[in-house]
Amino acid sequence: QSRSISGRVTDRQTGDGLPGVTVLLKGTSNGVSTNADGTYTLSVTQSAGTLVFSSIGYIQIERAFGEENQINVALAPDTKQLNEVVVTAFGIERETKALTYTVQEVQGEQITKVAQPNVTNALQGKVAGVIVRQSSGMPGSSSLITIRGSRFLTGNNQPLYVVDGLPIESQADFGGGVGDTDYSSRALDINPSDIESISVLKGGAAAALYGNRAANGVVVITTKRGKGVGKKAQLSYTSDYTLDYASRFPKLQNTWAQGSNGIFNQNTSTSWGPRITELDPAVLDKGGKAIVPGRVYDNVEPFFRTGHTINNAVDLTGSGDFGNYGVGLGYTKQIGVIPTTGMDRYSAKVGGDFKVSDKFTIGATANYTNLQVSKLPNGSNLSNPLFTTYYAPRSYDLWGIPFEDPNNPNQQINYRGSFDNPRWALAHNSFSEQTNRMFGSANASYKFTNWLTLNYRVGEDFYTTEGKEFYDLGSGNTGGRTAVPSGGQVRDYTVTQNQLNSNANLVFNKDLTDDINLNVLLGNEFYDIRNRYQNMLGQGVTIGGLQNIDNTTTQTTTEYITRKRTVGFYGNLAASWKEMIYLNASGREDFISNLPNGNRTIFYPSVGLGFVITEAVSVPQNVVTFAKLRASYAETAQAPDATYLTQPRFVRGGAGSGYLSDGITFPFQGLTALSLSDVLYTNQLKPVNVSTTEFGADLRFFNNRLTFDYTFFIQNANNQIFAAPSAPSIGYTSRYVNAGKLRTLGNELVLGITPVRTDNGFNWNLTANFTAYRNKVLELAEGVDNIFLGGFTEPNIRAQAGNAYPVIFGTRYLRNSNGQIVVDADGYPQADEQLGVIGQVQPKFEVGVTNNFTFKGITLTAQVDVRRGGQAYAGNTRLARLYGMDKATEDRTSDYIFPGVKESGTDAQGNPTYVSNDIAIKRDQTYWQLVNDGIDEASVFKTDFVRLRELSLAYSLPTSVVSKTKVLSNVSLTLTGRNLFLITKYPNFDPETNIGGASNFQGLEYVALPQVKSYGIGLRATF
Amino acid sequence: CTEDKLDEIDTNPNTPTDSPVQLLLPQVEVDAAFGISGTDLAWISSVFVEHTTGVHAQFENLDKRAVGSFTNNTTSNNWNDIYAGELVDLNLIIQKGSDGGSEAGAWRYVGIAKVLKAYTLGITTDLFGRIPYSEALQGDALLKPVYDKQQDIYTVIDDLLTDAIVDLDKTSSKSPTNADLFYGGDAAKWKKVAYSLKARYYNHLSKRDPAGSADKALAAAAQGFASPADNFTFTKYTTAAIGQNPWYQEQNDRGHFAVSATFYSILQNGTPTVTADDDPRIPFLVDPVGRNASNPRVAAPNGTAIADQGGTTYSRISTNIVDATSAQPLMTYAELKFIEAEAQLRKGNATAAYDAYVAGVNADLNAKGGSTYTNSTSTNANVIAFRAKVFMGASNLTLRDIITQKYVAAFPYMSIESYNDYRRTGFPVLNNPKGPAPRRFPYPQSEIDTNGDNVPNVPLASGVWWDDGTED
Repeated sequence: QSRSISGRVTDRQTGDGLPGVTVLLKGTSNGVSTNADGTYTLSVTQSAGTLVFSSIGYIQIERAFGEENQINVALAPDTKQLNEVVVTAFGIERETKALTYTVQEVQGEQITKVAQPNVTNALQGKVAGVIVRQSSGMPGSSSLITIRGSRFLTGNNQPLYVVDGLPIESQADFGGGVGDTDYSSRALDINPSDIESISVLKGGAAAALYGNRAANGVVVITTKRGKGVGKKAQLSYTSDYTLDYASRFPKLQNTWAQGSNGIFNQNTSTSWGPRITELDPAVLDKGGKAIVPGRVYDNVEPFFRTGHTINNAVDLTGSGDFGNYGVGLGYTKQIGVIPTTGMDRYSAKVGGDFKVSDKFTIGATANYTNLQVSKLPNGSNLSNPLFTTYYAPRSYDLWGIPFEDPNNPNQQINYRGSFDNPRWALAHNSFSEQTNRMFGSANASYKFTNWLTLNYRVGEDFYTTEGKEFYDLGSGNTGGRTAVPSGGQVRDYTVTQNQLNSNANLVFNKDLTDDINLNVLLGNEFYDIRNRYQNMLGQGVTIGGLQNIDNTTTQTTTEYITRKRTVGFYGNLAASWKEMIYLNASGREDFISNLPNGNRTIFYPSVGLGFVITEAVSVPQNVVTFAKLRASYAETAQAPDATYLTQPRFVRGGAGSGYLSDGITFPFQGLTALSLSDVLYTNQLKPVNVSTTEFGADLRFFNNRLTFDYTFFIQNANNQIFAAPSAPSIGYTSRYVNAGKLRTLGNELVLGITPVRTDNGFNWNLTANFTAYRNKVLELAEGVDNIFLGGFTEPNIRAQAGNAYPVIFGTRYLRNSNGQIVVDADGYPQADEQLGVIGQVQPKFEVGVTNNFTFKGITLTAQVDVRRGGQAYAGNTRLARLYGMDKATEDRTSDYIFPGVKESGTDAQGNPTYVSNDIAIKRDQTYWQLVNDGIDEASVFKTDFVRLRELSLAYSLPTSVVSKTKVLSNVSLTLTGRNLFLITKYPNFDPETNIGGASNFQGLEYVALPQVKSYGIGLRATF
Repeated sequence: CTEDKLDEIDTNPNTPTDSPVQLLLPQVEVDAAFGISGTDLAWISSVFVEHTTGVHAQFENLDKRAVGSFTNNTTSNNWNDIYAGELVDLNLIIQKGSDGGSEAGAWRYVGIAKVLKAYTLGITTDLFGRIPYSEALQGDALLKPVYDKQQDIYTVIDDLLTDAIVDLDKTSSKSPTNADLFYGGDAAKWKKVAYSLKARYYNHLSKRDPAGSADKALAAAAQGFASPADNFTFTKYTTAAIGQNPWYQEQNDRGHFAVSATFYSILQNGTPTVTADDDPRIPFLVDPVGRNASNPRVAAPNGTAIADQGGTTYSRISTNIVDATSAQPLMTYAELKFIEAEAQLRKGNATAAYDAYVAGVNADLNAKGGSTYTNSTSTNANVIAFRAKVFMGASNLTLRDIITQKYVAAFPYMSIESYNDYRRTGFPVLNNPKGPAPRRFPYPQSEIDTNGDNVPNVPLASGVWWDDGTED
């Protein structure tokens, strides 16, 4: 007797009906395919049997049946299919199982999930070995990205970005200083919504083909181009809205008034005055009102506002016999958590491929971005508004007392001199930059035979960034807080960069026998980079508020042009035998302009081997699904980033002091003057050599429910090029050398677990990206123990021989030979006269754990990032203590015994002996200001944290509902959050805050702008 | 792409690879005035010698002798400027202008450069003691220069000045005009500077060779400045932000300094040996609190002042002497007269000493407020009373009087010289309750890091050679 079994097959992750799934009665040829909505009806005659549901891209499942006539199943996507392909160097797609090096892919939707506007930031925690350091949560803030740590002591440590085959600029035009405005990283110009996928080429072997500029790995971005979308054009619309808040506020004391030595003084920066309750009500405050004894003001929180991020993007994609295309438009607007800050980004992109004939394909991509950022000075800048917000005395009514003289708005009213009142700073100063950028390429591909293809691509990346920084008349950072307001400054700068890239590849790909495949690539690359920086500095603003450089009394202009060119030839050979053994070998030779004549050539070889155990040994597939071991060795190299290191330079004359904003600059008195540079240049440079050896294992169990992708690597970067400090008495403060060794040992693990997968469609996936590496400086130049990377006279960030890279350097506690802190006769700790290492910046490990739960149309994703083992100099907390504002300075009267030892006499050899310290001190002004503040080590704290980096809850409307609209094919709503909670012992501020921007100068925080946390909602609709 | 093409691409379009002496001279002069004499080294000396009291940040810490306030990093910028800046550029001028150089015969430039080199070495050795010289400034060729004895550096200074005088007398193939910001290329004036500096540096050796140093100082002084018109003074500061007087910039940018109680007390009361009434220079040197004429003048106590960055509690140095375009003396006729007075006193010539002392005081009174102070017929009661006290007659003149008036005349720009005088003579008597001033400056961390074997390991309380007779 014949009967029907019907049901619906859905996608386990999205809940959507799956069309085209084969439903087969096991052991027979009786089968049907599912309909467009996933439904099927199969006629059977048996009273019992088994149905097999299979579809490409999904894990096949079987279901036994008895008398029931309805069977619904949910298929899990086979995301780790063994025949999955990833994009490798020069856009070459390779099967994952064929790789002999490490490549990890991130899908576009993972990038855009929580509406992070900066693609670099979105990578944090999602790729093992990749570390992103976002300098702050300000719109447009720079981010440092490194892959497997640092290779270069002072050079560039960030990867090359390649978009649709075109290498582009991704880095900030300027590095971080201790009192600068931050400069955006140029990767910010990429609209995340345009991204189809990102492939991260991690080690030397993966990136070797890119040559000189890829020593730090490559981030290969593929934008949406409509491949596989189908003939019907697909239009998708994305809209996100988030509310942003400063993530942490300092904990302040609320007992003590402004003053010093217990005496009220309303002109000092410190809060070492009397109790606020004991203030004299007869005294008038700076606004002319009577002081209210006992009144404590919250000056910090009113300074911040709720930020907003609005993101809208439209993509149109499609494909057909003619080829494929993708058009993307994006607009992102951010309003920062500090008034006046914000970002606007407009982007447009069009790309496509056109099949001229079966043999000939042409394509082109063009991207345009307009980016505007409004920002603020950072760090020790006297106009950094946070300086005077965080530490405005609790007795000072920052928000009630006017910030300027009503009769002269350039005359500030502030509780202290020199520094700007924060409200005045926001109202008067302004800092902005605007970038206009085009990048794009045209490519052609000709297939001579089905095994020989020629590809050619030529592209250009062009941008101009114009910045304007305005310090108004009377501004503190320009020395303007005088009896009659003075100073003021206008800075207009322009950076223009052109990169021309040309790239030709000839690809041979043939199965030589049934078992042997051979793939050979030969290619040539040419690139030429020109950069021009013009800076016009106008000092002495004449009319307050007028931001034109003509409105200044002195103008100084600077121009700096760099140009470099590289020509490279390369080849790659990939061979496989029986899909069991894979061999990859490559070589590249570069000719580089900015190395000395005679030393311009670099050759980079690489070789790798992969062995698929599961092809060689028979094991139950449902237990050990796949197992591969791989090993590779590669040499890469890097020419210096900087140009013109081979000849002496006479530089513009001038004089100054670390305590002055301006100093003297020529032209002066109508004269120009020159001075021999204090850097010694040399024509003896050779390229830096980097060798990487890596071993990896790709293990998948239980039909991919448990996967490990583990890599161990050793990376040696020798012959570093850097300006080694020299004894200034040789006439130079530093000299360029080829010296030094930096070694990195690391472990990376990508762990994937599917703990729960139920028939009713509930699915739990867990992915952990674990990164642990140790960068160690084995040696520096002869006679050089450490080099300065950035920071203050002290403390600062350095690379030190024999230590991890980098270290915090400054004044240490005086310790005895047992490492115990030795207090003086008064019971106070002392400073060691010798400066030294006071902290290690590098964490022992970082891990990003993403849990993904899906049930029918609901997806919950949570990414938790954990960092352990690094330290930072907490300059903000140091200042909070110096000024008597930190909560820790609240108790000024209790006895306190500093944990340490005191001298108790001398032993027989005359060496001092020690006993436990028992001398009670008060932690008062003397302690914090004159003792603690002079010991930099006292302000170094661990940056360990556990952070809920991303959280999203998405709901896809059921297909049954969506399909009724006729036009919509998919609609989802998402609730999102970023940085929702943070567990850390780091005091007062976010441990990810940093003033070094996107530079090697990491681990020092000093009145840095805050990080933010965000709550948002997103809409995605596909038509 | 050929090597030639790559060479062309790699040619620096931004900076030249060489410079004529004419473009180096303005740099070395500005650096001598601003970088070396006008900033950190002078400011630190000023706090130590209690011309000023640090009332904010680093200088407040120095005044309070706070932990970590005077370290191997404190002087790094200045040391860099001296060795990798000033001395390198000076040597280039000397080498280019001398026989065999690319601009051989430019003796005027060479002579000026030698004077400035002697001046720079003098300041450096007086503050640090032993310094690199004989093996210094050779770039890659010698990475670890030895530190020469101060005694030998003093010989070098004298030789340089002697040579400079010879060079300045030679016919010069080219001579600076505007490019010489001090004297417009006037060789005679530069020779007077050379002789005056000789007098200064001989006199520094008062503890080592009391009689010889006095004879030599007097001989040199005779050919030094003939009047204040010859002063070695930088007068070219402008109102442009990048052209202002360094002390003025400091006051606006940071506000570290208030007028010190020690100094102000001397102005108000003199010293126990000479109890002077209010010095008529007070209004010229010290502003009322907040620069508001209705406020009193309040000096900041040494070692115990409260933080006062904004200048609302304590008096600041007067804008009469520290303003955007104020002249900055490096050495003056008044100082030369006090050197003469001191040398004569050491030789037992009381009358000659007194005459020089009176000339020194009058020169400074004249400089600080004009002729009303020096005119002996002045009817200004203050001036009359003051003159009666400080012009006490030859028989009553003491070293303390000379150094005290020299200390007032040096305020604020020549505090380094006052710090030298304090270490040589013990005057002025300092009052900081937090402890004595260090007797030398710490070597920079950069030298310790890369030339550590040669850097002397000397406690800061230990005097330099001319102070205690030992090099370390």
